[in-house]
Amino acid sequence: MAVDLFDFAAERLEQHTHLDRLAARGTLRIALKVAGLAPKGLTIEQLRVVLERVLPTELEKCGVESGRQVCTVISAALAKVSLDDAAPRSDDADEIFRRLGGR
Amino acid sequence: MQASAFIFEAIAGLVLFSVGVRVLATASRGAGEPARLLGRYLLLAGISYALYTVPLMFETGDLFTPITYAGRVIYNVSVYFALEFTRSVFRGRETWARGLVTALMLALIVGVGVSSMQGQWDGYTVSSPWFWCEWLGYTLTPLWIGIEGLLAHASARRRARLGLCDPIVANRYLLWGLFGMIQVFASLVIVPMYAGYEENQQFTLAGDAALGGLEMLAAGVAWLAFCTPRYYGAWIARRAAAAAVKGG
Repeated sequence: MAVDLFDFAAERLEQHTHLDRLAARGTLRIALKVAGLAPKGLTIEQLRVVLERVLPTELEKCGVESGRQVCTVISAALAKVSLDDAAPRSDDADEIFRRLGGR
Repeated sequence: MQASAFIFEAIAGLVLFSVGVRVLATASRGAGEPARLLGRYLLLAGISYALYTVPLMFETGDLFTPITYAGRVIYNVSVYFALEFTRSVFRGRETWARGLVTALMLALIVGVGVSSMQGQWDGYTVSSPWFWCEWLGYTLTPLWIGIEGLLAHASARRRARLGLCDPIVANRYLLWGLFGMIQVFASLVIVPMYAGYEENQQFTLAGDAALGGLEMLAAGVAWLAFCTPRYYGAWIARRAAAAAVKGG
Protein backbone atom coordinates (compact mmCIF):
# COMPACT_ATOMS: atom_id res chain seq x y z
CA MET A 1 0.00 0.00 0.00
CA ALA A 2 1.32 3.48 -0.84
CA VAL A 3 2.45 5.55 2.13
CA ASP A 4 1.51 9.21 2.37
CA LEU A 5 4.93 10.84 2.31
CA PHE A 6 3.79 13.95 4.13
CA ASP A 7 2.37 11.92 7.03
CA PHE A 8 5.46 9.72 7.03
CA ALA A 9 7.88 12.65 7.36
CA ALA A 10 5.70 14.57 9.84
CA GLU A 11 5.43 11.54 12.15
CA ARG A 12 9.23 11.04 12.11
CA LEU A 13 9.73 14.75 12.76
CA GLU A 14 7.46 14.55 15.78
CA GLN A 15 9.35 11.47 17.08
CA HIS A 16 12.84 12.96 16.75
CA THR A 17 12.24 16.55 17.94
CA HIS A 18 10.46 18.34 20.77
CA LEU A 19 7.79 19.51 18.30
CA ASP A 20 4.24 18.34 18.92
CA ARG A 21 2.09 16.94 16.10
CA LEU A 22 0.68 20.32 15.08
CA ALA A 23 4.06 22.08 15.10
CA ALA A 24 5.78 19.22 13.23
CA ARG A 25 3.16 19.20 10.49
CA GLY A 26 3.15 23.00 10.31
CA THR A 27 6.93 23.21 10.01
CA LEU A 28 6.97 20.57 7.31
CA ARG A 29 4.18 22.39 5.48
CA ILE A 30 6.19 25.64 5.58
CA ALA A 31 9.28 23.86 4.26
CA LEU A 32 7.24 22.43 1.39
CA LYS A 33 5.84 25.86 0.60
CA VAL A 34 9.34 27.36 0.54
CA ALA A 35 10.28 24.61 -1.93
CA GLY A 36 7.19 25.32 -4.08
CA LEU A 37 5.59 21.97 -3.25
CA ALA A 38 2.27 20.78 -1.85
CA PRO A 39 1.76 17.94 0.66
CA LYS A 40 -0.52 16.13 -1.78
CA GLY A 41 1.29 14.17 -4.47
CA LEU A 42 4.74 14.61 -2.95
CA THR A 43 7.36 12.30 -4.49
CA ILE A 44 10.33 10.65 -2.75
CA GLU A 45 12.82 12.74 -4.69
CA GLN A 46 11.05 15.97 -3.77
CA LEU A 47 10.86 15.04 -0.09
CA ARG A 48 14.52 14.06 -0.07
CA VAL A 49 15.53 17.47 -1.47
CA VAL A 50 13.33 19.26 1.08
CA LEU A 51 14.90 17.22 3.91
CA GLU A 52 18.35 18.02 2.65
CA ARG A 53 18.08 21.68 1.65
CA VAL A 54 15.03 23.34 3.18
CA LEU A 55 13.79 21.65 6.35
CA PRO A 56 17.02 22.04 8.41
CA THR A 57 16.72 25.84 8.18
CA GLU A 58 13.03 25.76 9.08
CA LEU A 59 13.74 23.52 12.08
CA GLU A 60 16.45 25.89 13.21
CA LYS A 61 13.88 28.70 13.20
CA CYS A 62 11.73 26.56 15.52
CA GLY A 63 14.59 26.09 17.97
CA VAL A 64 15.49 22.54 16.94
CA GLU A 65 19.27 22.50 17.28
CA SER A 66 20.00 19.15 15.65
CA GLY A 67 17.78 19.84 12.64
CA ARG A 68 20.24 18.58 10.07
CA GLN A 69 20.78 15.26 11.88
CA VAL A 70 17.03 14.80 12.30
CA CYS A 71 16.58 15.31 8.55
CA THR A 72 19.35 12.78 7.82
CA VAL A 73 17.60 10.23 10.06
CA ILE A 74 14.26 10.81 8.29
CA SER A 75 15.97 10.57 4.91
CA ALA A 76 17.51 7.24 5.90
CA ALA A 77 14.14 5.96 7.09
CA LEU A 78 12.66 7.03 3.77
CA ALA A 79 15.01 4.72 1.91
CA LYS A 80 13.60 1.68 3.77
CA VAL A 81 9.98 2.36 2.95
CA SER A 82 8.42 0.84 -0.13
CA LEU A 83 6.71 3.59 -2.03
CA ASP A 84 5.23 3.38 -5.45
CA ASP A 85 5.05 7.06 -6.31
CA ALA A 86 8.71 7.83 -6.95
CA ALA A 87 8.24 8.50 -10.66
CA PRO A 88 6.58 11.71 -11.88
CA ARG A 89 2.89 11.05 -12.42
CA SER A 90 1.46 11.55 -15.89
CA ASP A 91 -1.22 13.91 -14.50
CA ASP A 92 1.31 16.13 -12.79
CA ALA A 93 1.10 19.74 -14.10
CA ASP A 94 4.90 19.98 -14.50
CA GLU A 95 4.94 16.80 -16.55
CA ILE A 96 2.02 18.00 -18.72
CA PHE A 97 3.70 21.37 -19.34
CA ARG A 98 7.00 19.66 -20.12
CA ARG A 99 5.31 17.48 -22.75
CA LEU A 100 3.52 20.51 -24.25
CA GLY A 101 6.92 21.74 -25.38
CA GLY A 102 7.02 18.75 -27.70
CA ARG A 103 10.55 17.69 -26.74
CA MET B 1 -13.43 50.09 -41.85
CA GLN B 2 -9.77 50.27 -40.95
CA ALA B 3 -8.50 47.25 -42.87
CA SER B 4 -4.84 47.79 -42.01
CA ALA B 5 -5.46 47.41 -38.27
CA PHE B 6 -7.30 44.13 -38.78
CA ILE B 7 -4.22 42.65 -40.42
CA PHE B 8 -2.69 42.37 -36.91
CA GLU B 9 -5.66 40.33 -35.74
CA ALA B 10 -5.48 38.14 -38.84
CA ILE B 11 -1.76 37.48 -38.23
CA ALA B 12 -2.51 36.68 -34.58
CA GLY B 13 -5.15 34.18 -35.76
CA LEU B 14 -2.68 32.55 -38.13
CA VAL B 15 -0.07 32.23 -35.37
CA LEU B 16 -2.59 30.76 -32.91
CA PHE B 17 -3.80 28.33 -35.59
CA SER B 18 -0.26 27.12 -36.29
CA VAL B 19 0.56 26.79 -32.57
CA GLY B 20 -2.67 24.79 -32.20
CA VAL B 21 -1.63 22.47 -35.04
CA ARG B 22 1.76 21.99 -33.43
CA VAL B 23 0.24 21.21 -29.99
CA LEU B 24 -2.21 18.74 -31.58
CA ALA B 25 0.74 17.04 -33.29
CA THR B 26 2.42 16.80 -29.88
CA ALA B 27 -0.79 15.26 -28.50
CA SER B 28 -0.82 12.65 -31.27
CA ARG B 29 2.74 11.70 -30.27
CA GLY B 30 1.51 10.81 -26.78
CA ALA B 31 1.38 14.13 -24.91
CA GLY B 32 -2.08 13.18 -23.69
CA GLU B 33 -5.56 14.62 -23.30
CA PRO B 34 -4.50 18.06 -21.93
CA ALA B 35 -2.45 18.65 -25.09
CA ARG B 36 -5.48 17.71 -27.20
CA LEU B 37 -7.65 20.19 -25.27
CA LEU B 38 -5.08 22.99 -25.57
CA GLY B 39 -4.48 22.28 -29.25
CA ARG B 40 -8.19 22.42 -30.02
CA TYR B 41 -8.53 25.69 -28.12
CA LEU B 42 -5.68 27.40 -29.97
CA LEU B 43 -6.72 26.02 -33.35
CA LEU B 44 -10.35 27.09 -33.01
CA ALA B 45 -9.39 30.49 -31.60
CA GLY B 46 -7.16 31.00 -34.64
CA ILE B 47 -9.99 30.07 -37.02
CA SER B 48 -12.32 32.40 -35.14
CA TYR B 49 -9.92 35.36 -35.45
CA ALA B 50 -9.71 34.73 -39.19
CA LEU B 51 -13.49 34.61 -39.50
CA TYR B 52 -13.84 37.86 -37.57
CA THR B 53 -11.29 39.69 -39.70
CA VAL B 54 -12.07 38.43 -43.22
CA PRO B 55 -15.34 40.39 -43.57
CA LEU B 56 -13.61 43.50 -42.20
CA MET B 57 -10.71 43.29 -44.65
CA PHE B 58 -12.62 42.24 -47.76
CA GLU B 59 -15.99 43.10 -49.22
CA THR B 60 -18.21 40.15 -48.27
CA GLY B 61 -21.63 41.76 -48.85
CA ASP B 62 -24.48 39.71 -47.39
CA LEU B 63 -22.02 37.22 -45.92
CA PHE B 64 -20.74 39.78 -43.38
CA THR B 65 -23.11 38.76 -40.60
CA PRO B 66 -23.01 34.95 -41.14
CA ILE B 67 -19.18 34.95 -41.22
CA THR B 68 -18.93 37.14 -38.10
CA TYR B 69 -21.49 34.94 -36.34
CA ALA B 70 -19.53 31.80 -37.24
CA GLY B 71 -16.42 33.44 -35.77
CA ARG B 72 -18.32 34.27 -32.60
CA VAL B 73 -19.73 30.74 -32.15
CA ILE B 74 -16.40 29.06 -32.92
CA TYR B 75 -14.62 31.28 -30.41
CA ASN B 76 -17.09 30.34 -27.70
CA VAL B 77 -16.62 26.64 -28.52
CA SER B 78 -12.84 27.17 -28.22
CA VAL B 79 -13.37 28.65 -24.75
CA TYR B 80 -14.79 25.30 -23.60
CA PHE B 81 -11.49 23.59 -24.47
CA ALA B 82 -9.53 26.33 -22.67
CA LEU B 83 -11.66 25.84 -19.56
CA GLU B 84 -11.32 22.06 -19.62
CA PHE B 85 -7.57 22.33 -20.16
CA THR B 86 -7.18 24.68 -17.18
CA ARG B 87 -9.41 22.55 -14.97
CA SER B 88 -7.78 19.23 -15.84
CA VAL B 89 -4.19 20.49 -15.50
CA PHE B 90 -4.44 22.71 -12.43
CA ARG B 91 -7.62 21.73 -10.59
CA GLY B 92 -8.29 18.14 -11.65
CA ARG B 93 -9.51 17.05 -8.22
CA GLU B 94 -11.43 20.16 -7.22
CA THR B 95 -15.22 20.13 -7.36
CA TRP B 96 -15.45 23.94 -7.50
CA ALA B 97 -13.47 23.94 -10.76
CA ARG B 98 -16.11 21.76 -12.43
CA GLY B 99 -18.72 24.22 -11.17
CA LEU B 100 -16.77 27.15 -12.59
CA VAL B 101 -16.46 25.47 -16.02
CA THR B 102 -20.21 24.80 -16.03
CA ALA B 103 -21.07 28.36 -14.92
CA LEU B 104 -18.86 30.01 -17.53
CA MET B 105 -20.13 27.75 -20.31
CA LEU B 106 -23.71 28.52 -19.26
CA ALA B 107 -22.92 32.25 -19.40
CA LEU B 108 -21.61 31.83 -22.96
CA ILE B 109 -24.49 29.65 -24.15
CA VAL B 110 -27.17 31.88 -22.61
CA GLY B 111 -25.41 35.07 -23.81
CA VAL B 112 -25.05 33.89 -27.40
CA GLY B 113 -28.39 32.06 -27.46
CA VAL B 114 -30.62 34.85 -26.17
CA SER B 115 -28.85 37.64 -28.06
CA SER B 116 -29.11 35.59 -31.26
CA MET B 117 -32.83 35.13 -30.69
CA GLN B 118 -33.07 38.91 -30.38
CA GLY B 119 -31.28 39.34 -33.71
CA GLN B 120 -27.95 40.51 -32.26
CA TRP B 121 -25.90 38.21 -34.49
CA ASP B 122 -22.57 40.00 -34.36
CA GLY B 123 -22.32 40.13 -30.54
CA TYR B 124 -21.32 43.81 -30.56
CA THR B 125 -24.45 45.11 -28.74
CA VAL B 126 -22.95 46.46 -25.53
CA SER B 127 -26.30 47.93 -24.46
CA SER B 128 -27.78 44.42 -24.18
CA PRO B 129 -27.48 42.49 -20.88
CA TRP B 130 -26.86 39.32 -22.93
CA PHE B 131 -23.69 40.85 -24.34
CA TRP B 132 -22.42 41.12 -20.75
CA CYS B 133 -23.45 37.57 -20.00
CA GLU B 134 -21.32 36.33 -22.94
CA TRP B 135 -18.54 38.83 -22.14
CA LEU B 136 -18.22 37.45 -18.60
CA GLY B 137 -17.85 33.94 -20.04
CA TYR B 138 -15.04 34.83 -22.42
CA THR B 139 -13.31 37.26 -20.03
CA LEU B 140 -13.32 35.26 -16.80
CA THR B 141 -11.89 32.25 -18.70
CA PRO B 142 -8.56 33.92 -19.60
CA LEU B 143 -8.54 35.52 -16.15
CA TRP B 144 -8.61 32.01 -14.66
CA ILE B 145 -5.94 30.89 -17.14
CA GLY B 146 -3.80 33.87 -16.10
CA ILE B 147 -4.20 33.33 -12.37
CA GLU B 148 -3.45 29.58 -12.57
CA GLY B 149 -0.46 30.14 -14.85
CA LEU B 150 1.06 32.84 -12.64
CA LEU B 151 0.44 30.86 -9.42
CA ALA B 152 2.00 27.76 -10.99
CA HIS B 153 4.95 29.87 -12.10
CA ALA B 154 5.52 31.22 -8.58
CA SER B 155 5.80 27.73 -7.06
CA ALA B 156 7.65 26.28 -10.08
CA ARG B 157 10.34 28.97 -9.72
CA ARG B 158 10.96 27.82 -6.16
CA ARG B 159 11.11 24.17 -7.28
CA ALA B 160 13.43 25.08 -10.14
CA ARG B 161 15.90 26.67 -7.68
CA LEU B 162 16.09 23.29 -5.91
CA GLY B 163 16.42 21.38 -9.17
CA LEU B 164 12.88 19.97 -8.84
CA CYS B 165 11.44 21.63 -11.93
CA ASP B 166 12.85 22.23 -15.39
CA PRO B 167 13.38 26.03 -15.75
CA ILE B 168 11.78 25.90 -19.20
CA VAL B 169 8.62 24.42 -17.63
CA ALA B 170 8.61 27.17 -14.98
CA ASN B 171 8.93 29.73 -17.78
CA ARG B 172 6.16 28.03 -19.77
CA TYR B 173 3.80 28.56 -16.80
CA LEU B 174 4.74 32.24 -16.78
CA LEU B 175 4.09 32.60 -20.51
CA TRP B 176 0.75 30.79 -20.19
CA GLY B 177 -0.23 33.12 -17.32
CA LEU B 178 0.77 36.16 -19.37
CA PHE B 179 -1.18 34.81 -22.33
CA GLY B 180 -4.31 34.72 -20.14
CA MET B 181 -3.78 38.20 -18.74
CA ILE B 182 -3.19 39.72 -22.20
CA GLN B 183 -6.47 38.14 -23.34
CA VAL B 184 -8.21 39.77 -20.37
CA PHE B 185 -6.87 43.17 -21.47
CA ALA B 186 -8.11 42.42 -24.99
CA SER B 187 -11.56 41.73 -23.54
CA LEU B 188 -11.47 45.08 -21.75
CA VAL B 189 -10.41 46.90 -24.93
CA ILE B 190 -13.35 45.55 -26.91
CA VAL B 191 -15.92 47.15 -24.60
CA PRO B 192 -15.41 50.80 -25.72
CA MET B 193 -14.65 49.50 -29.20
CA TYR B 194 -17.98 47.66 -29.48
CA ALA B 195 -19.80 50.57 -27.84
CA GLY B 196 -18.46 52.84 -30.59
CA TYR B 197 -19.49 50.30 -33.23
CA GLU B 198 -23.01 50.13 -31.82
CA GLU B 199 -23.27 53.89 -32.24
CA ASN B 200 -21.52 54.48 -35.58
CA GLN B 201 -21.38 51.01 -37.21
CA GLN B 202 -17.63 51.52 -37.43
CA PHE B 203 -14.62 50.51 -35.37
CA THR B 204 -12.10 53.20 -34.48
CA LEU B 205 -8.51 52.87 -35.70
CA ALA B 206 -7.21 53.20 -32.11
CA GLY B 207 -9.47 50.40 -30.91
CA ASP B 208 -8.52 48.15 -33.82
CA ALA B 209 -4.84 48.80 -33.30
CA ALA B 210 -5.01 48.18 -29.54
CA LEU B 211 -6.95 44.94 -30.00
CA GLY B 212 -4.74 43.77 -32.87
CA GLY B 213 -1.60 44.60 -30.87
CA LEU B 214 -2.80 42.72 -27.79
CA GLU B 215 -3.84 39.70 -29.85
CA MET B 216 -0.51 39.65 -31.67
CA LEU B 217 1.26 39.83 -28.32
CA ALA B 218 -0.84 36.97 -26.90
CA ALA B 219 -0.22 34.84 -29.99
CA GLY B 220 3.51 35.55 -29.80
CA VAL B 221 3.57 34.52 -26.14
CA ALA B 222 1.70 31.28 -26.98
CA TRP B 223 4.21 30.59 -29.75
CA LEU B 224 7.14 31.11 -27.33
CA ALA B 225 5.49 28.82 -24.79
CA PHE B 226 4.55 25.89 -27.01
CA CYS B 227 6.84 26.20 -30.05
CA THR B 228 9.82 27.25 -27.93
CA PRO B 229 12.71 28.14 -30.25
CA ARG B 230 16.09 26.64 -29.30
CA TYR B 231 17.72 30.00 -28.63
CA TYR B 232 14.98 30.94 -26.18
CA GLY B 233 15.21 27.58 -24.37
CA ALA B 234 18.99 27.95 -24.17
CA TRP B 235 18.64 31.50 -22.79
CA ILE B 236 16.24 30.31 -20.05
CA ALA B 237 18.62 27.45 -19.16
CA ARG B 238 21.58 29.85 -18.99
CA ARG B 239 19.66 32.25 -16.76
CA ALA B 240 18.61 29.42 -14.43
CA ALA B 241 22.19 28.15 -14.21
CA ALA B 242 23.47 31.65 -13.43
CA ALA B 243 20.80 32.08 -10.72
CA ALA B 244 21.77 28.70 -9.20
CA VAL B 245 25.44 29.75 -9.03
CA LYS B 246 24.48 33.10 -7.50
CA GLY B 247 22.18 31.43 -4.94
CA GLY B 248 24.86 28.91 -3.99
